[in-house]
Amino acid sequence: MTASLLVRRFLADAARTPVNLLVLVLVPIVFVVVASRPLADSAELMGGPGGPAVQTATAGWAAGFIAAIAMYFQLRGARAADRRLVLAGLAPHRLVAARMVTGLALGLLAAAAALAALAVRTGWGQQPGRVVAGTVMYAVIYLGIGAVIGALVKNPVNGTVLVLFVWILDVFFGPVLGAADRPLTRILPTHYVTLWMVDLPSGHSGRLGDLGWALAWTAVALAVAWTVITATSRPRSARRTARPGSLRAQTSAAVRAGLREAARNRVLWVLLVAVPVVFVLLAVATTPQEFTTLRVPENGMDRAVRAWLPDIHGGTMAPIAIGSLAAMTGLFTVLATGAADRRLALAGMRPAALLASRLTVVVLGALAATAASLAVTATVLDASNWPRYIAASILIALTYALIGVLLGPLFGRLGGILIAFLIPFIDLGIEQSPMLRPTPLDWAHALPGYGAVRVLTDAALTPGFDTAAALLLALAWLAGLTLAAAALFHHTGRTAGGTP
Amino acid sequence: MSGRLPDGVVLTAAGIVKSYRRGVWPVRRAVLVLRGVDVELAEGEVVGLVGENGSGKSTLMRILVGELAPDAGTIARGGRIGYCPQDPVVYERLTCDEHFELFGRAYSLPGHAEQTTRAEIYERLGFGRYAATRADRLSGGTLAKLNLGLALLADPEVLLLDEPYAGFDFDTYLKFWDLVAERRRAGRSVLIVSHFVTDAERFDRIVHLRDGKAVEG
Repeated sequence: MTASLLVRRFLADAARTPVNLLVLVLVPIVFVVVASRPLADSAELMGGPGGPAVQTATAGWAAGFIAAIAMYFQLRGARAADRRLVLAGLAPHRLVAARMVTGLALGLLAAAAALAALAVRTGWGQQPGRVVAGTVMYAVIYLGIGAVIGALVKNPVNGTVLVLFVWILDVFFGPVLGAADRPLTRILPTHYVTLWMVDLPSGHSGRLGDLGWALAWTAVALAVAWTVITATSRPRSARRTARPGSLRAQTSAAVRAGLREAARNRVLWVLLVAVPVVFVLLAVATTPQEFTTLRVPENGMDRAVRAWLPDIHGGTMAPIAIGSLAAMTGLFTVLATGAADRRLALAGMRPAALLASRLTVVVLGALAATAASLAVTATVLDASNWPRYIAASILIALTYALIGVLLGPLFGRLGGILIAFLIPFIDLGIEQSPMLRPTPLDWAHALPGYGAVRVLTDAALTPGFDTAAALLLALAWLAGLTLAAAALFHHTGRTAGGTP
Repeated sequence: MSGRLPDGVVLTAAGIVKSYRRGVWPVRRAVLVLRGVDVELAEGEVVGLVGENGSGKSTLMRILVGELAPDAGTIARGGRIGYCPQDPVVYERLTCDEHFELFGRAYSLPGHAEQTTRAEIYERLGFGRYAATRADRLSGGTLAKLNLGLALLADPEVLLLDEPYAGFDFDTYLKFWDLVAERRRAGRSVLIVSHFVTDAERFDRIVHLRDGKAVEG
């Protein structure tokens, strides 16, 4: 009852701004009518299918963009008033439901306008159901995007530009304007929606299918929007503070300070992203243009797989870049903060809080290096199983980040740097490399990268999972290194723990 | 390693021995720095610990604080210890405010108490205008103030200061001694390490570290 009243009031609020209505209806119509034909022509130039597929997708693009903008302004404009409503006693879930329904109504209005324009312009084609459902899914996915940007970006100019940026990436690198089979663009929010909407099977959607992925994206967008609106409408005064001196208070303070300090080291972040990019692309550019044969397990048998050498070289350079950079991040994080951490421990900071702080920074650095490496690798290598390839890469990053954490106190700055470069190079670059020998030598099984690289190679070349033992070994390394890092920080706290 | 404290005493160190190993095997040798140091600090006392360069002052300080373990000897501490190391030990990219916030959590101070004390420290040492400046962008003198301020934050019963006024201008040097005098009046104890003493009258006692042993006077 309350929710429906709220929805009516929120919609009235939107309707009483005449510009809103104009934007919601007019922009999608103009976009579909005017832009669909030129976009279809340019799609053919860019290697996409072009033709009716592009014209159909323009309805979704228009609906999506307008839905995101509407949601952004709805959230930004009413944030303070929404908090006041919750403070006055309104149940937060009712407010969130009303905001979501209002957003959906605005998105549907834009979708309806776009679909009407499409009907007039080209018609809805052979499968009108897909066109309508696809356009609605576009609107819902962009509702989530608008909500997230609304929660993060205060300035309306910045917010609008950010929505536009996401939309341009999504549309211009999407499957109908560009080629549908680029691995990197599969992560774009409306990749599967578009393919399903224009009836262009992707061929890489697995058991879930294109519709399954499209629905999954839509459901995730709804969940994200719900979470974000709940978070932004929560009154600030309700924030609980931890008891002074408690583990929670110390951990949150230490993690916050660690992240602040790391975020201000901009050169490190740029290098974490730039180095793997250059590393992988150079490897590909300098590799002979020929095929090679690799041996990988598949269904319990050792199978020979023929692969294009530059692609495989790029794929095998990624773990070396990830491992080296992660080790460096771990090493320098610990070395740069070691003395101050000891002072903090003397003042009473618990080792667990210090460990959480340092590991958070190290893990984020390792993940940044992994993300950059994989983004570039995806342009040269189409792994048979991407989720497992990504998971194995993260495993390598975390393993070597922890090795870096341990190397710092053991070998100091100079020795630590040399060893942090040497170990991943020997382990990941030589001993585990599938390019140099079909399977690693026996002694190389004892190296930290063995398990993760076996999983990675298997995921790169075969769709099935045949490396359970290697995965367990990699996880055992990770657990062991985590325990060792915990012991190191416990030691820091103990040697510094003389004060009562 | 730890022992009990007599009445009116807030810190004792008895028979402290410490050596460092130098070189690598088979030519590794031990350099004995402290050969049985005895130090005691009473409530409301301001004590100077002086000695030549390399006499082991900072080593003794680190042992008293608990940062370094002695090879032999006992230490007993009463109450909270505030420690100001010789070289400023801070996080390069955190601001002064962020340092006080973080150390406040480490000392288990309630938020309002930390903020009040922080404001007093800024006021007393005169570096409030650098509250939002990162440590790596502070001048040497202001960094020394931050270094000292972190030791003062929890209003500790015992303050152990290793060359605390090395980077201070004369005005701040005088402010520093006003602060020390106030702490003495409040019954707090201060041990100050320095390689030379110019204002001996400001100390209740001066302990010399000679040949690895503590000598009064």
